[in-house]
Amino acid sequence: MNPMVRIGLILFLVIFQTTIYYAIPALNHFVDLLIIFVIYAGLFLPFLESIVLALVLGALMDSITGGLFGLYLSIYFWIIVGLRPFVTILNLKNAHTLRLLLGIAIGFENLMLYIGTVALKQETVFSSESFRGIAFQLAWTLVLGPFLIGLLHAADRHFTANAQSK
Amino acid sequence: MFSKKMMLIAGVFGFVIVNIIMLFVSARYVSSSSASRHMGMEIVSPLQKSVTFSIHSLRSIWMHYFYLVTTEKENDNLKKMMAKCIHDGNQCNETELANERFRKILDFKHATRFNSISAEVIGKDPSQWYKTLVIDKGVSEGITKGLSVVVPEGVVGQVIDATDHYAKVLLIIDSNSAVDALVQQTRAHGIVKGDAEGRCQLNYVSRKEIVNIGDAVVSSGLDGVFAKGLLIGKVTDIVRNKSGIFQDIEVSPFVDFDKIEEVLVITNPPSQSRFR
Repeated sequence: MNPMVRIGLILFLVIFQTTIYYAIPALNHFVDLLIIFVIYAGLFLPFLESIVLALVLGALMDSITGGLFGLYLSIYFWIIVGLRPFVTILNLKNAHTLRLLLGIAIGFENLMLYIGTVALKQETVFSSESFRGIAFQLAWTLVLGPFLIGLLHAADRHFTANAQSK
Repeated sequence: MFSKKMMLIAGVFGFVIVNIIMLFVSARYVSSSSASRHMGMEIVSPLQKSVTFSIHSLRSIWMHYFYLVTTEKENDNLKKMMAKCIHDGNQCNETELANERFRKILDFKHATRFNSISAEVIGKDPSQWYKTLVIDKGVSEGITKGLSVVVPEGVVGQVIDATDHYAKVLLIIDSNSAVDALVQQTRAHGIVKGDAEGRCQLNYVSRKEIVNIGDAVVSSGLDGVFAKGLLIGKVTDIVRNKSGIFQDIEVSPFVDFDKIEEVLVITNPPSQSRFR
């Protein structure tokens, strides 16, 4: 897949998650598409390209959220860096392996966002509502995540093969 | 001298330290209206606006063409409601006229008219931790940082960042939000702060003040952001601890933040809008 297409995909995912999810209340705590993309990029794309994509995604997210600037940048950057050692060790075709990585990534993301919130406010803001939201999102991501990562990977291979044949 | 592995660990450790320092600097010194943030917003927000417009169009088509089965019944109900509204509206007009006369008699300058700009909500913060909305009006339409945002049901929040054509609104249910408020019935004074449950807490209300469940909470106008008398929510729970000088009051906002589509941004600050 062309890098520009990948950046287009990032834009699409950000728009989808901030507008469609908002317009359809049932999707409020649905799959975290951005983390899925970051995991996919970290596992299947060249390291440098995945870092650039993570930074672009992080900058876009930091622009539209109300948190600290740089928080999403840091989260996505460290997920990509953290995934690197596992790329050669783990069997990436195994759905359970992907679920484990997705679970860790979502846990890390929410921990960082929580720390960011506390840093701004200097008091704890954790609640059962937040916990429920994260739990729903985690459950959906664990169920659909491996399938969506597979889909991204297949689309990527298809586009790359097409480009090479031309 | 050092092995490659050691160098790698030291490099990662260094990166972590640099990252923490950068986040610290960002928290302390980078304002929410920095150019880097504006660039991202200027890229994403037009697309958010287009998608939101498409969703509204599709919803409108659905509601107007495919949902006609229940329209006749709804029409009858609406006619009845409208008749009642006309009656109520007439009574309100009479009350308002009488009110104005009384105010003139008391030589009290009445002015609760706000200059406002209507805006459409085009995006929402996707995380559980921050409660902000993006609206489709910005600096070029007269919106600046710090203006209050309302809907007919009550206070929505405050503009925390504005680009040329878009603005970011911090909702009153966000834990970083604070609104100076009064309990409407008893005039007890406090600060409404957001909590993580999507409700608000009325803080710093003395234990001596009388507050009842169901009482309405309105803005006091003292914070210089929200005009006096704007509805915020109603008291849903009160805890008077044996120790401490304040009571814990939970406020449920009147606004349903999951369903806001349009908002009004009040462009004249309370000092100008309250007394003219």
